[in-house]
Amino acid sequence: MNESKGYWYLLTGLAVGIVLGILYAWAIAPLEYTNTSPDTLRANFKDEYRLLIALSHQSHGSLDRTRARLALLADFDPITALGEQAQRFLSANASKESIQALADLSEALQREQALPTSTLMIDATPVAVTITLAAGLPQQTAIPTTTDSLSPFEPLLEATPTPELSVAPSTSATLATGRTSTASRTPAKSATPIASATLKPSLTPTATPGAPFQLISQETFCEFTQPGLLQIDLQNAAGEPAAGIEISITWLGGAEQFFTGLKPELGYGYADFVMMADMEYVLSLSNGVTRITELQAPMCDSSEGAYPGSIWLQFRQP
Amino acid sequence: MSPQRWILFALSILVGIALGLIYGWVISPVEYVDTSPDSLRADYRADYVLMVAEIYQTEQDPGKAIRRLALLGGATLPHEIAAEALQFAQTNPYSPQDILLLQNLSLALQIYNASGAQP
Repeated sequence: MNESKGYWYLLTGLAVGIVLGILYAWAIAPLEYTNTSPDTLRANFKDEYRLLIALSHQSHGSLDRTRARLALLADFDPITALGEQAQRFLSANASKESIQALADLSEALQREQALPTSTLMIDATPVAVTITLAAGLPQQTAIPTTTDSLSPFEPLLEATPTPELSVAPSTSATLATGRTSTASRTPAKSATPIASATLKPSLTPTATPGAPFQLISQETFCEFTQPGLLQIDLQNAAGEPAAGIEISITWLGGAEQFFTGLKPELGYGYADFVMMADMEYVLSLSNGVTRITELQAPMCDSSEGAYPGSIWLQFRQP
Repeated sequence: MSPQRWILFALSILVGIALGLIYGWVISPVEYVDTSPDSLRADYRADYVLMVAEIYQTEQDPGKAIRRLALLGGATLPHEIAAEALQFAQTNPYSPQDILLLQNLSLALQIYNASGAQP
């Protein structure tokens, strides 16, 4: 009896020690993460980071750099993340410039994604970047001068910040040199995308600025689960979804702007707006060149009573 | 309790502390999933500042640049953050174009700071 009692104090000591140890490790001296990566940021800081990426993209115009930066946030689908953030900003009445920047970047990424010759490979070794020029122009190959294991924004085509639009046959493109640094903690994921991109300098926007959209289809329908929904679908001249296009809706006593592509799950050229019953709306596109007036939700009947119906509008660039 | 038991008791506490530390630091350490930009690693901070510099090149609005850099904050002032990023870029092989952007931002913020203007 005394012997077994004698062992309990060891267990007690062990338990006390474990508690003290965990207390010290978790509360008094927890691991300090001073060298974190962007993917660990809090959601609102990620939004801020993503917005900076979108705004800076407007300045440098390099999709490779932008894509590499977005990869640091480790979003499952960066395009969807951009669209969702634009929606959040829209509902929070954020600045139009911010929403436009997010929508524009989303569109640029979708456009680039749609190109069959565009590829992105994540690799930790130096790679040759082949720039495939338009038909009739010679090919160029750029070799990075150093390996960059930490830089989040390579490669940068120094000779032409916007290679997709301005690469000339005689241009010699070189990649920015890499950089190395040491960190006290290795990030969980490889933070170093080095992209090998095959670019086409003949990229054209899906929605050509200046070519006003034309209404090609208008339908009304009754859908009890989506009362008063104005659904808009925009296509470019090639019949592809046109994302990031600003749509203005005005009505007596109000106005609202929104963009296509903010609900990518419904299509990159899709946008919608909820109409009130007995209210007339005016929709304008292409800086007011295309205007649809007297839009009003039709009244529909159901067993539970009348409700506003929906309208489907389809536009296309000539 | 005999002295021998006291020693064993103390030893068991030490073993427990060791086990607790292993659990707290190695097996299940505190996870920081909601960090703030001021904890970013130096190269990410420099890239953040570079983004601000790229935007500044278009906007030419030092007030907005300062507000954006404030997120990297802590006790460091925005013009000091820009200067640190510039130094990082100069000691690492950033492209001359990027260094120029950072120089422009750093200079603009220093002037802005010296003028005493509020963002």
